[in-house]
Amino acid sequence: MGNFEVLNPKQHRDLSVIRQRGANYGDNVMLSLTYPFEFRALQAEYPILFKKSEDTGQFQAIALFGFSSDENLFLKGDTWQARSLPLAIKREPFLLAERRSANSDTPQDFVISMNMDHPRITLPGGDPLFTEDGDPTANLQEVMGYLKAMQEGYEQSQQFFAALEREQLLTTINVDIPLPDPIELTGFYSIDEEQLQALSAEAMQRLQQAGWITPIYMQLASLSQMTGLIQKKIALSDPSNSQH
Amino acid sequence: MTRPIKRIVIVGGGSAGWLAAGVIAATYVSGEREGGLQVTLIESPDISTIGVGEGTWPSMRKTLSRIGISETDFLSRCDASFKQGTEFFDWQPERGASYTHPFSPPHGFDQFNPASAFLALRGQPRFDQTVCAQTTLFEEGQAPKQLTAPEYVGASNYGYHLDAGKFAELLQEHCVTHLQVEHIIANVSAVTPASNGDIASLETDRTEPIEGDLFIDCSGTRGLLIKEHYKVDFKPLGHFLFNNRAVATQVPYLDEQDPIASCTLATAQEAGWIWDIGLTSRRGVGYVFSSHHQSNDQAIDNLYQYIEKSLPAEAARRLTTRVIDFVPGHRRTFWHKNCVALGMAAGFIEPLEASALVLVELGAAMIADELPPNRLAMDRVSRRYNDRFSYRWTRIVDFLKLHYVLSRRPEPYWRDHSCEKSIPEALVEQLETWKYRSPWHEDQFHADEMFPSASYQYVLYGMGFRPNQRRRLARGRDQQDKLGEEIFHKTKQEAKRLRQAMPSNRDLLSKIKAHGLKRI
Repeated sequence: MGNFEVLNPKQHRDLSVIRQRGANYGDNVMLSLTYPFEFRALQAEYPILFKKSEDTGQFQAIALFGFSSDENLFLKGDTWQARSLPLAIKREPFLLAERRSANSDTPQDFVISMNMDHPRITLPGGDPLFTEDGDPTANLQEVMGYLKAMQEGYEQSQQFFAALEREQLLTTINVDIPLPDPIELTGFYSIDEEQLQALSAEAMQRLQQAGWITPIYMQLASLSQMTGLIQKKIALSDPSNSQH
Repeated sequence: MTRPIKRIVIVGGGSAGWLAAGVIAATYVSGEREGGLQVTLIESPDISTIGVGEGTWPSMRKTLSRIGISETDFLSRCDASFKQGTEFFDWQPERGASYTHPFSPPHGFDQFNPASAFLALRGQPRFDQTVCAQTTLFEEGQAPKQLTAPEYVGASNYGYHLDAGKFAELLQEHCVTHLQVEHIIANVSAVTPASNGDIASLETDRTEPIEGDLFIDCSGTRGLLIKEHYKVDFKPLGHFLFNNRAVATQVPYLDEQDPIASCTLATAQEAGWIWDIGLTSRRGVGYVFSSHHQSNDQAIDNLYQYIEKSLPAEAARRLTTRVIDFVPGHRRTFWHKNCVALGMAAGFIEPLEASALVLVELGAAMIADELPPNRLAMDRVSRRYNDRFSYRWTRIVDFLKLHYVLSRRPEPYWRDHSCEKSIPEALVEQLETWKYRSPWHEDQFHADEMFPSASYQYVLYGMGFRPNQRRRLARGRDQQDKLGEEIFHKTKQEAKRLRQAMPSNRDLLSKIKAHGLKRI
């Protein structure tokens, strides 16, 4: 699974993180989590869809990069061909872990941990994590910012989806990719636009006051990126297409 | 006579009464409005309901959805688990004899009859595992779906095991809170007839008389309306199916993480069979047997021996048992004048294929869907209702008897089951036919047969029935066999996929309790 350690200057003083993109650094993923506050930044490039967590069955938002696991159609060698990257990608290989005290179930606080076996972690060679004095470098502080935003995003997501479920604004979405071996993407959800148009004034106001109108429309807008992604996929399967 | 039907009165508050209330009230707008329907349920404060662990058919998913109950609520309130079929043990005398009747039909069954290709296979494989991928989930108590599936949707077909008492409570709450069903707790003291012999109203020991246009008798074996008042004849079935008594108990899991079985287990015994139904909190286990063939003491001993396979002897022997008597059979007419019987008031047979609740579902649905506008139109509906349910009962008896008639067990009870006069004629004829051709769609006379031909195949070939005529050489037989091979191969692949993907019942049910299922 992963060899996770809590980040601390004593043990990890000499470690650095490779920030380059590439499949060998774990970027060959089909999707990553995203959060309502991030939809605006991502919708210009990535289709944003919803799916259920395998673990809890709860809805979560994702940015889509490809159509099968390990497929990232934005990744060409060491370049990720997009102007923006989801936070969930930028913060790799770090994550926030809850630290609980030995005799209670409530989390005490969050600590940064990382998977020591992740290919991004290296002794000298990448961006250092700690200064000579054992303080976090600017890079690490940036990562801490991402992780904090993600934690807030997670809580925001829970409320967002609770509201969407209450107003019955979720619907299944299937994507068919017309290839010689056709691909059907299932298990994803989107905002139900018809239902959205049919909402009462009171319901709209509730959504407005909670701040959900913008992410709702940003998600809908992101769907037009699906065409581009499908084209990338088709181009991959038939190199001659790229000669158009 | 042309006065509209506006008031439905249900007598009895067990699962039958509340299911009927729920289905009917969910179908029609309530109350005094033009075209509205008032549903009233009256139950005695004194009588307790039967309260055993029960199995349902997959139809219960539609029924609950129709009533408006979420699957998440249902599962957690009723200690329910997923039932994917029935596993039969020891119905043949060979050591370890077993087969299953899963809820999913054989792969490709609308188009392809697997029997011929199956019978041509060498090596005596099991029919159920060869034709149906779902059976692989039974080996280690795996679930028919994942947490991410919407409610009521599954990768494999499923029904439920549930606590009947808690089920009635949940239904009652839902009916009263959300469907405007009027709930009266009182004892019916008298039935007041109308001039045409209909029931005009019911008198009770503590309320004003309760008037109604249609009365539904869900008062169990008492049959307060259909039996006590109308004295409708009873058609006994004990000469076909001998079981008339059950001794039941509740068995705890040794460890709260013990696997929950994916099927009802039905283990044949000297004079009957033991049911074993896995709920989340405990197992419901009971021995249904014939009192003509075995005494209570012997039966209780059999039951303990069975339980001792999974519980230490002292713990097993400490479990309290209750004895339930029943007379297998049903009313000759279910709907008489303006009174229709549902549930045990309509009839009862041993729970071998969990037919009790599905008959209630079918009855409630038919009453709701064909509810006549007025009394004048009612007799046409009641005639059809009676025809349909009489037919269904004969099919149930035929199918249940099939399980017995194929057994080669030597004990007197089992030998008696093979006695020609205990076998319904229709079944005798069918068995003759199946000696040279397999059960197939032409055996189904009605569009909505209770037991489709796939069910007959599962039992027939599960019990080891083999045609005793040489196969006539049909043209294209080799192609059929080849097609069979391909389909059986696909089934194996699907089984592997299910095996890897499906969580255990225990895990899934805990997660559903913690997180719930979504509507979509």
